[in-house]
Amino acid sequence: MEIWMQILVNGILTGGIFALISIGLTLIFGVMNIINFAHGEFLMISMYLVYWMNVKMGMDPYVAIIFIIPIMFVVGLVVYKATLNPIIERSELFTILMTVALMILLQNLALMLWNADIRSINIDYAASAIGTENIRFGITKIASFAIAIGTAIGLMIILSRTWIGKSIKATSQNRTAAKLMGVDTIRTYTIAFALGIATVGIAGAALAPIFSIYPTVGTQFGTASFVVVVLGGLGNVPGAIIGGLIIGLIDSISGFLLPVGFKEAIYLGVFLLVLLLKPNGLFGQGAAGGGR
Amino acid sequence: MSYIKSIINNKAKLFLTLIAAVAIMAMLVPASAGNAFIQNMIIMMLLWAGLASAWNIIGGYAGQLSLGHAGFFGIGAYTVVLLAVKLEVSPWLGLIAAVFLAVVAAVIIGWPCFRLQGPFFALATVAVGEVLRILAINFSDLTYGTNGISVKMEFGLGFMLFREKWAYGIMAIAFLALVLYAVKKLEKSRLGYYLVAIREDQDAARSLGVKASRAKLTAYMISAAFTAIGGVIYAQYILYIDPDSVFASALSMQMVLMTIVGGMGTLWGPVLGAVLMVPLDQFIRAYFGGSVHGLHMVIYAVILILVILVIPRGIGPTLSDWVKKYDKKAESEGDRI
Repeated sequence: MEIWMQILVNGILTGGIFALISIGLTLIFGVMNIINFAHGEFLMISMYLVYWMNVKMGMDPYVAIIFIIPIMFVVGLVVYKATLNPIIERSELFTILMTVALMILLQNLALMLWNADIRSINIDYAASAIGTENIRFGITKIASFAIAIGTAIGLMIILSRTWIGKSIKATSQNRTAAKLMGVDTIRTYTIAFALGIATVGIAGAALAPIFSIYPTVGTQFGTASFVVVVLGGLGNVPGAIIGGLIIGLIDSISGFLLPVGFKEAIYLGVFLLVLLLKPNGLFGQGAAGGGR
Repeated sequence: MSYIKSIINNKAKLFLTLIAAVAIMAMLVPASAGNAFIQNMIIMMLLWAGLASAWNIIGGYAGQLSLGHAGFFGIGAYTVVLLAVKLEVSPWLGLIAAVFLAVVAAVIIGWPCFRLQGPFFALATVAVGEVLRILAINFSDLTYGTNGISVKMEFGLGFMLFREKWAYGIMAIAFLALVLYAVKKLEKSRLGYYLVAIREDQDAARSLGVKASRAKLTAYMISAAFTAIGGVIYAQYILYIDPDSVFASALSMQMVLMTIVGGMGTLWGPVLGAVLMVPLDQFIRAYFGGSVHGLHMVIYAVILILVILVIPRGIGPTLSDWVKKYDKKAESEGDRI
């Protein structure tokens, strides 16, 4: 029984991590109909940034978040303006392809610059845990869960309270109508993309103390976040959080029951099931696939 | 005589004949016959031209972005080698089994995805490609895991295994010709027109009575079958396979890249892409391969980004437009004089 409690706790904490990674992905999709295949790679870049800040300057990974947010926001701005903005009006095929090209580029740039070594951040409190004798809560996992909740709340406040947040929401609901109401859609796309990259940057900082860092680390989390986002409904931010928790639980349970390495196969099973039964996600309505 | 005339009049036939002639001569001419590097490059060029053309059916004509074609390639390679090693089945029968399995896999992936619009198909193909690689690593009782498998060394036509490189050259030419013939037929078939209509506007095509999901699924099955054949030829040529070489996502990306660079949705685009990219790839690997890891993929990505931004239709169609424009200009100037 206790082991199942522990699995449940682990699942929910891991789910928070998945949710945090997926929020930005679903935000970007909701606004501009782009599946950002390079999402996991932005996570990887952020993890490396946090790692170097820690190694070169002795900065605590959680303190690094203060710097990561503006850095990744600017990275998002520049990447969007240089690669996606020129082709945003073209067919979906080209925008997807562009993010795939970015994925290959970032992954292999990381390989060139920092080689394939597996690195990890050593902080003295990483191994400590709280809880009862039987159920343990790892400090770093609790921290990342709290960061996930905080980021989600922050993002939702931005979306509902600020002018740019409202334009993002309006554009994701109906881009033509938003344009007619005087929303600068190009600016909205740019900000939404940069916000999405900034949130995945936060995720990178939250993950860096827990997981090893290597050039392809993004693929593993990227695949999971695609499943989370489809499960929660493409473009649905609260849905991504619920989806993240579900995938976290599935991850934790299948990790206990099945041999290592089969997790991804389980994700795919869930993914195909969702596509078959509820293609708009668990809470979705309306036409399948939305948008175009 | 009339055949020669028809070749000269038909640019496509001329191009194919030229490629075949150059390839065969380069394989047999003494100067290069001994040069393993050049022979290998020609075989790879032909094989990749075939693979990119196979991807072009679903990606270029139907406009459905498959990012996991390495899955079918790997299914082809593993089926033929495992059947030969474990059950002593002839690779020629293995080839049929490989095609069958790839088509089944295509149905399993395509059937749920093609009923939906949006990016679901692209997402699913990435996931499936990755999962097949993971399964090939973890089902080590069957696949020998990361150790990989060597092809059984029994040479001869019956074993589809040859000591001479030119035999593989001929196999690759036959493969490319088969795929191109199918694409050519497809272009002028009802299915081909359906696919282009779906690519341009699926809702409009549906409203005119095109069964979009069925057309896309058929195209995907055809594309998967050819990709599996490519995988079989690769395995019989390289003589060793492991999950990270035949299920690598880089393979899927290369098929996409070559098609985009050459020209999506055109008969000759993927061939042009392979003719340009394979030598580039081989030279980069030869010069930097050992020292700078990841460099050739960085160059790939940069080329892909530039092509999408500057000449999204690919080099082939863009060039032929220039030529046409130039021709017209020359003609009209000629009229004035």
